Amino acid sequence: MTPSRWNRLQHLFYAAVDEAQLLPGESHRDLLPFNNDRSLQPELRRLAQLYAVR
Amino acid sequence: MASPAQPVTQLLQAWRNDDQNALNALMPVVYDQMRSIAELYLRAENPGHTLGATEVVHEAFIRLVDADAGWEDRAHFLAIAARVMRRILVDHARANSSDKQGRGASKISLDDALVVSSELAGEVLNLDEALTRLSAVDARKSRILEMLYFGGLTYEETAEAEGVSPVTVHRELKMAKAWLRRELGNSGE
Repeated sequence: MTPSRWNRLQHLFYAAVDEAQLLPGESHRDLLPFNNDRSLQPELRRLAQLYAVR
Repeated sequence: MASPAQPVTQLLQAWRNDDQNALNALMPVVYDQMRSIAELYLRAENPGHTLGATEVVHEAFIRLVDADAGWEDRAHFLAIAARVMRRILVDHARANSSDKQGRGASKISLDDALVVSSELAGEVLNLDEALTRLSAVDARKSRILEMLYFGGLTYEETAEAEGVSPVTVHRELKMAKAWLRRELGNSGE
C-alpha cells in the first residue's frame, strides 16, 4: 500500500468514527464507513475489523 | 561539531539543536554500552530466562548520561536507545534463530512484552521486517512501535520523544497494530 493510500484510508476511518459517534463499549468492528470512495470500502471495512481487535 | 569524546548529555543537547553529527556520534557509544549490558544478561540466560529491553535501556541510560540530564534529553536518549535495542535484539535473534521453527511460521503476539528467547527469535525478526516496511508507509507509527516494543518505553516517554500527547501515542499504536495485523495476515481472531 502506498503512503498516500494509507493516509487516505486512515482519514476516512477516523471520519467514519467521528460520524458514527461510537460510545464507550461500542466496537469499531460494527463501524459502517461513510465515504464516497467505493474503491476503498473493502479495505476500510477490513481496517475497522483489525482496529477493533484487542 | 560533535565528537565521540563528548559526554552523552552534551551530544543529546547538540542533537536537539539539529546537529546530525551528534546523532552519528551517539549511536556507536550507546550501541557499545547497551551491547555489553545485554551480553551480561544473556550470559546469565537459562531456560525460561529472558532479556528485558526495558532493563537494558534503563541501565544504559544510568551508565551513560549525567544524573542531571533533563527530561527532554532523557526522552531523546530513550528514542535512540530503542533503535539500538532493536538492532541488538535482532542481531541476537538472528544468531539464535535455528531454522527448525522456520521464518514466518510464527505470528507476532503484539501483547507480549518484547523479550528474546530462542522461542521468540522468529517473532523478533518478523516484527523487525514488518517495522521496516511500515516505516516506508508511515514513519511515525514505526518509530512509536519501535520505542514501545523494542525500547520498552512507556506511553508517556514515547509521547515526549515524539512531541505528541500520550493519547495520540495510544491512537497511533492502535492503528499501527491494525496495519501490522493486515500486513502479517493476522486477524487476531
